[in-house]
Amino acid sequence: MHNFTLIKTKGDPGRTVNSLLAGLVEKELVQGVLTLAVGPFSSLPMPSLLCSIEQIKNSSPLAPAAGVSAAVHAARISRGPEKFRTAAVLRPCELRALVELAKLNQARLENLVLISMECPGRLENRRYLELRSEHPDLDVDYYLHPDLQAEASGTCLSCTDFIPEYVHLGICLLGLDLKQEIGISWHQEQGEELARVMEFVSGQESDSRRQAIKELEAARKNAWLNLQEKTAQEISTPEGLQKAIGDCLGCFNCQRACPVCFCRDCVSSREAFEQDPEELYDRGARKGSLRLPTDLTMFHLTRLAHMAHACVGCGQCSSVCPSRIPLADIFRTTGASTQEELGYRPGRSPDEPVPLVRFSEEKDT
Amino acid sequence: MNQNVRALVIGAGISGIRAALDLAEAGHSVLLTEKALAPGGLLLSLDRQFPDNHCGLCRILPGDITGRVWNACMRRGFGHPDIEYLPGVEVLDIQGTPGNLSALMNRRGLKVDPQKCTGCLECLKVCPVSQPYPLAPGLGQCKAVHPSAPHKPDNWLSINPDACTLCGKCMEVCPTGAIHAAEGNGPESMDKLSLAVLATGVEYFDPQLHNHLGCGHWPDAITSLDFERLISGVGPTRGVLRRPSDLGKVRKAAWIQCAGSRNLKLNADHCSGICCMIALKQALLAREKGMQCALFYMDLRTPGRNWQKYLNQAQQKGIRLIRCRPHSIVRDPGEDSLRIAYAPAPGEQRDENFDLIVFSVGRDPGYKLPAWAGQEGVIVTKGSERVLDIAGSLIAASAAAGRALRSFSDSCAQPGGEAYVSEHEHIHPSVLVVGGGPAGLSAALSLAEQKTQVVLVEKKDHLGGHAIKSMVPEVREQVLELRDKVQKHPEIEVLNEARLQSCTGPAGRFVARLLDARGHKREVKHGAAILACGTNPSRVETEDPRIINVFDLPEKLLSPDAPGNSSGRTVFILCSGTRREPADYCSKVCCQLALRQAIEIRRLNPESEVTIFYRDIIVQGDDEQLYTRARSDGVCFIPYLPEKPPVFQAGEKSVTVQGVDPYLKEDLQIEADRLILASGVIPESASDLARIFDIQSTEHGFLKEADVKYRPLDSVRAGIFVCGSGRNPVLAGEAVLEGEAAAQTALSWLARGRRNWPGSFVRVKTALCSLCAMCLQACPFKARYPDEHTGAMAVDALACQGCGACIAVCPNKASAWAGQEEEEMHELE
Amino acid sequence: MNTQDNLKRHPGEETGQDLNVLALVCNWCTYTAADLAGVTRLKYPTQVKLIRFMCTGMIDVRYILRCFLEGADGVFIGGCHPGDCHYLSGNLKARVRIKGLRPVLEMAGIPEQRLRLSWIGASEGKKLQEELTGFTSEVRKLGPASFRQMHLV
Repeated sequence: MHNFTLIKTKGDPGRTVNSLLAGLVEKELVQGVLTLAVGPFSSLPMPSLLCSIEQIKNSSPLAPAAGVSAAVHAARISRGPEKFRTAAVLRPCELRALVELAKLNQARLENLVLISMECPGRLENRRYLELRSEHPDLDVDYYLHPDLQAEASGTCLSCTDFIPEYVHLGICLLGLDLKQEIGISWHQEQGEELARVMEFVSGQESDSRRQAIKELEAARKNAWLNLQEKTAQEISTPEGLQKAIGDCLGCFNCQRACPVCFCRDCVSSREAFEQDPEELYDRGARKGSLRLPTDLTMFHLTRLAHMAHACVGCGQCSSVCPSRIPLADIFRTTGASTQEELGYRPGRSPDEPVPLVRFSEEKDT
Repeated sequence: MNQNVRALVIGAGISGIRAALDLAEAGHSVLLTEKALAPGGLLLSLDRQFPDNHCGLCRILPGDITGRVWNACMRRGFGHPDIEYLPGVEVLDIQGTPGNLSALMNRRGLKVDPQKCTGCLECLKVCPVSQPYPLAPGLGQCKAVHPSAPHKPDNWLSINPDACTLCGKCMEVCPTGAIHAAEGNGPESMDKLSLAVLATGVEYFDPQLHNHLGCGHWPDAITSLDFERLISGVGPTRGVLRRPSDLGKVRKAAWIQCAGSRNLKLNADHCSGICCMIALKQALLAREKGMQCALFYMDLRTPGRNWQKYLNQAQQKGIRLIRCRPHSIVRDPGEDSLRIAYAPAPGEQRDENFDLIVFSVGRDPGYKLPAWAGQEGVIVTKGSERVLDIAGSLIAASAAAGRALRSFSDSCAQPGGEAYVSEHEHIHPSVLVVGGGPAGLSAALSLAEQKTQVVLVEKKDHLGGHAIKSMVPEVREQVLELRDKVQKHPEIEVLNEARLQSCTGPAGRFVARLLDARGHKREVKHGAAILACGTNPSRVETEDPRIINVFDLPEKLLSPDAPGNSSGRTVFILCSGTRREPADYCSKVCCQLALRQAIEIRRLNPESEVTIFYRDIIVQGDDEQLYTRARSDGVCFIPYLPEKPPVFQAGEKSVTVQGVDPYLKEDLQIEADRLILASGVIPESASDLARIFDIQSTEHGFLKEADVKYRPLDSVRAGIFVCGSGRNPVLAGEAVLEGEAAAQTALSWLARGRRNWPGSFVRVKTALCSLCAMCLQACPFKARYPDEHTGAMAVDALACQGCGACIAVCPNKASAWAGQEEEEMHELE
Repeated sequence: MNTQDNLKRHPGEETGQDLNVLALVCNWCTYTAADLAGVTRLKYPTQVKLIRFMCTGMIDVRYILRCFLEGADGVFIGGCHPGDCHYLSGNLKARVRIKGLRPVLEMAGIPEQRLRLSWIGASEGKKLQEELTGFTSEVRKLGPASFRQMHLV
């Protein structure tokens, strides 16, 4: 990679990123920054639209948490008129989700500066709070201590797409002494332009970085293969699936938390609560009893059928499930084969058409 | 709407049905007569048709009813509120004047009432008559009472009046009294007809009558028409290919082309045009079933944009193409099969055995139109003069419908005036025609003569296209006449040197933006567009004045005084730039042009020598006579193989052309004074137009129609039509016909604006729509668009055909069937 | 209701009650072929229930899921041959959708043999008979689907 530079951190990589973001606003490249910040009344870092330099300098862009997916909010902000240009700091999975949303007219990428980082994984919300009480400087310590990173969510630990792809500015964290320096890479025309204004000087990447990426890739891949196999074995039978989703409450949290589920009103949520008593009795009589709310298997399969091709593997569905259904495992495993079948990688590029409306004109097969 | 016009359409084959539909859609009442019981004509026996080897017949139904008709296979008959179908009626004579014609017809009556018939088939058991099966005379016998058409239920029985002896046995045995053998017979007259369209189609050559190569003598030598039944899933053998003689399995089959065509002995100096394609299709279908196939031919005539590809496909699938005319067929004494003796090259004699031999029959050389076809007010479809393929028949039928109405324009439909769909939607009653070549001119004139406003847009500074420089005086005159009429017509505005920039808006309410000759911006509102952009000759890259493009050979160069022409040698190389990638299509115009030039050169200077290197001489219909004439005039024809095309080198004294003698298989060298290259045509402006109007184009840049067989002049977008060489290379005369047909198709579309449209198939729940635009991509007819008023994706009711693709793709069912809730779709019992 | 053991011996095979095979077919080609099969008196298994759609392109994947969840043992989808679709490309859309649906069915434990997509033209009554007969016997080999009796979440 040639478009790469190192920036000194003076001990706190987060602060370095903050200064960079503040610089974007100061140089009037963007009007605001979307990134994680702890508000006066919240304990978790939450996606926030920051407009003042002071607030940006106090934000936590590298906090290993994602209470909600920032992709949805980046999409919403981007749909405004051109005068609002926003720098969005997103995890690689959130970035992929944003690209998916852009394909479906839910986001306008031209209004965004896309910034993402090499992601060692996020902590589940509860775990983040627990660990922060032990490590007050968790947002920095997390990157320095591998044993803290091992606490990341199960989805993250088996995620192989931890390097952002469709991005303007990349924050490079792997294989570097973050107390000393972080890396910045820039991509595409917009990235080049930013690098020019921010006066980045191209430098060489070290071998240690490449080595670190390779090692993480291997470990993650191994974990992912194990997870896939386990999911296929334990769930993909009629009984297995029923067992897995048996405790579903029908809260539709998974659908609401899913960054790529974009419908205004999910067809399944209408279906589950719009049956009249006569119909319920009719269905109950057929098998002797009827589980309520009804049609939750249909709901989960519908979501799989609609979204598996676009699943970016962020794991939000599992994180928000009150019944601890391994939804992310199911989605990612199904998604992997759907995506392979259709030759599609969600979030790779906004120019790649959505597969279900793309079809081959070939006459054969 | 004008119900005063009462049109008679004779023949309910595909041409007659199309003409009847066109007349009915324009708002007239139509009587459609058919000699047989079932409508469909020849298509009843063709299960699968080239070039996709499938059907698709249902697509000729008018767009506004397809989504509302269940079970609308045209083979089972069809209904239209303004068409009265009269089966079993033969027209004997037509007299009178246009506007007041009277037809004498023999109403042969409906013999078996399908309402009463239960399909018990007792009548078949008692019928004493045996006759050749009408759809496939070569494949055995049936009773005088027989199923009317293969796809019809058993209660649709016909009685052949020519075979029936009126013995009455069937009437006795029929349990429900459904048979009325003699009722309603006899001639009858029908008066006050405004116009008549003759669409009976041609008669096919019967090789049995001429004892052509022993056909008729050998049961396993059948005609191509019989073969269609033999391979049909509802044919006598249920689609298993068996020998008619002993029902043995067919392993190897041969097709013999030009039975009854291109044969001077039979006085058949014509090419039937589509038999090559039919034979290729039949061989491909047989090949699918594992048969070995060989095709004996003289020239494989695959003209136009699509057919070359079909030929390539046949070769790839392993169909043997043998260029020669077999001289005899005998039964092999030791075998069950027939032996064909042929000579692939001089002095080379071969025998080969085949289980089945198919004669590719075309138009019977003895076929003549009935005398009353010349009666004023009777319009004859082109498909009744020569054999046409499906698309050709449909185009000819639409053109005939248009001609019939124009001969009569005062009382015709008047597209001007109130347009009506609903309060908010209507079709603008005018047409934008793009391109001022023969197709565009004739489209514009047909529309104008039917009182429709036309804006004709031409890129160049004059109208007429390349055709005004045509070698054929008749073509030149025809085009010049068209041009004059167009320029003088008050309904037509001509914009020369205009450049189209965009076309927007939903179907029927298009707005085109263009720059006129002075560079001024202009907006043209229109309800329909006809794209007739034509093609340009592809260039021949040379500085040498002796190497000339066939399209650039001006008349003066043909004269004896022209440089290098006195007793000189002229060599033509045909297909020098086409029929291979990157232009793997036939330009259609070059062969006849080269033949005309060759004849002219020889006529002007009998001393000169003319040699034509060719792959296949592709001329159709009576243009075959050009080929015959050129040969008898002493033009030398040398075929070459695509993998070994002749090469040339310009020397000081002459252009050396090197080829291979196909018979002696030796190198051959000609020192030519002049080399003429047929490098074909390219659709230069078609892909731009396709982009502007948001329709599809082919890999070679031609405009793509909605359906190559059944909707040849429609584009996928409602209200946008394509015709002329920009769609598919055609001769000037054919372009004129296509223009007329496109005009008629456009008029049917405009007429929809005056009908009470039943509304859309699809409803959009605007509050649920997320504007993801997947419906936009899924809609094959581009009927979905973002509506600024509602903030949701709307449905263009006029373009929607009700396929439901947008509903299936809509994840939360913001798009739903009108009148049906999504939940109802999920109720399974 | 039959017990598992009884089902193995296919009681009701004669009367067509042992299996539920749903055939979702397009109006223009496959349904017409079915009609033709009727006209030409070709028989296909009584277990098959035909459901007519205007086009295979309008078959929402949710309809297929619904069929299986409501106890279908096999779902057959019949459309026009590619290039033959009355609506130009509905059959190609169906093909892509079903390709994308297969992994979902796999996750739900529904073997892929229980869903078949087939092109049957209007004049292919014979092919319709062969395909439906073949599909039904393949589904019979797999036995009744578990969702048929299971109490579903």
